[in-house]
Amino acid sequence: MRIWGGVSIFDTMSCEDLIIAFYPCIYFSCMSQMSMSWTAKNYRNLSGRQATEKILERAHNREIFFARLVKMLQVVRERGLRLILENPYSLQTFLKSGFVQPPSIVDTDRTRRGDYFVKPTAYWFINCEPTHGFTPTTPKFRKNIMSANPSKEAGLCSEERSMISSEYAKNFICDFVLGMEQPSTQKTLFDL
Amino acid sequence: MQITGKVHCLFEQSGTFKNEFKKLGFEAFDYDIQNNFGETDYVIDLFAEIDNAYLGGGKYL
Repeated sequence: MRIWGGVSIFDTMSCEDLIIAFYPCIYFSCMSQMSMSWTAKNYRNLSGRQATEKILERAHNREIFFARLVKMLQVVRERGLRLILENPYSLQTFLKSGFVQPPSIVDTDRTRRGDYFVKPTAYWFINCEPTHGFTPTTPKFRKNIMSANPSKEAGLCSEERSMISSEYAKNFICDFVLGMEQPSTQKTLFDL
Repeated sequence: MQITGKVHCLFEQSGTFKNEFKKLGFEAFDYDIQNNFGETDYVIDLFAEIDNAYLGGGKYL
């Protein structure tokens, strides 16, 4: 008989299921990476030692979040569960350097599938493979990171920046998960 | 990829992906420690769940 560590929600999941994890990027994103610098704007009113303490605290928290992420991936690997991990992948994001494996897909421009933001995003497929469809969709409107409402608390991710449009979610599922062709919503040169 | 079971959306509380999976006919659930959008089906500390699941790994008895 095989037992798995402590009791957890992963015990209720089976190999027939699919898990999608939108793992918190708060300590991995490029914005967080910029906060590892003494010259970060948030530290402008702090002394040198205070800024250093903030940076060390962030590094410590990043280590905790990173360790949990790797643990989660190992848990699903051991159990044969299918998981898709989502995380931002722009500029010098932390997961670009020395992560457990490279991403299966990097969507460099989410607006092509109907999202509000360009926001390059990586997806790691564990115990499963992506399909490779493409459903071109013009977003209802576009936003950019700099004009989005900031977080109420310094150092935290903005809620607006974290949201994904439902059109993008549908297209992602059809293009990369199910391999399901959808009726074209946008005319191409082949339709003329 | 064929999904014959359920879809579990971890760290999602907006229901965006969950609801799109539902529209496509799948049974889907959101899991997060917060429920600010009223869409979280399981309000749960996922970090503690990961720690518990990882603890000891898989053992044969």
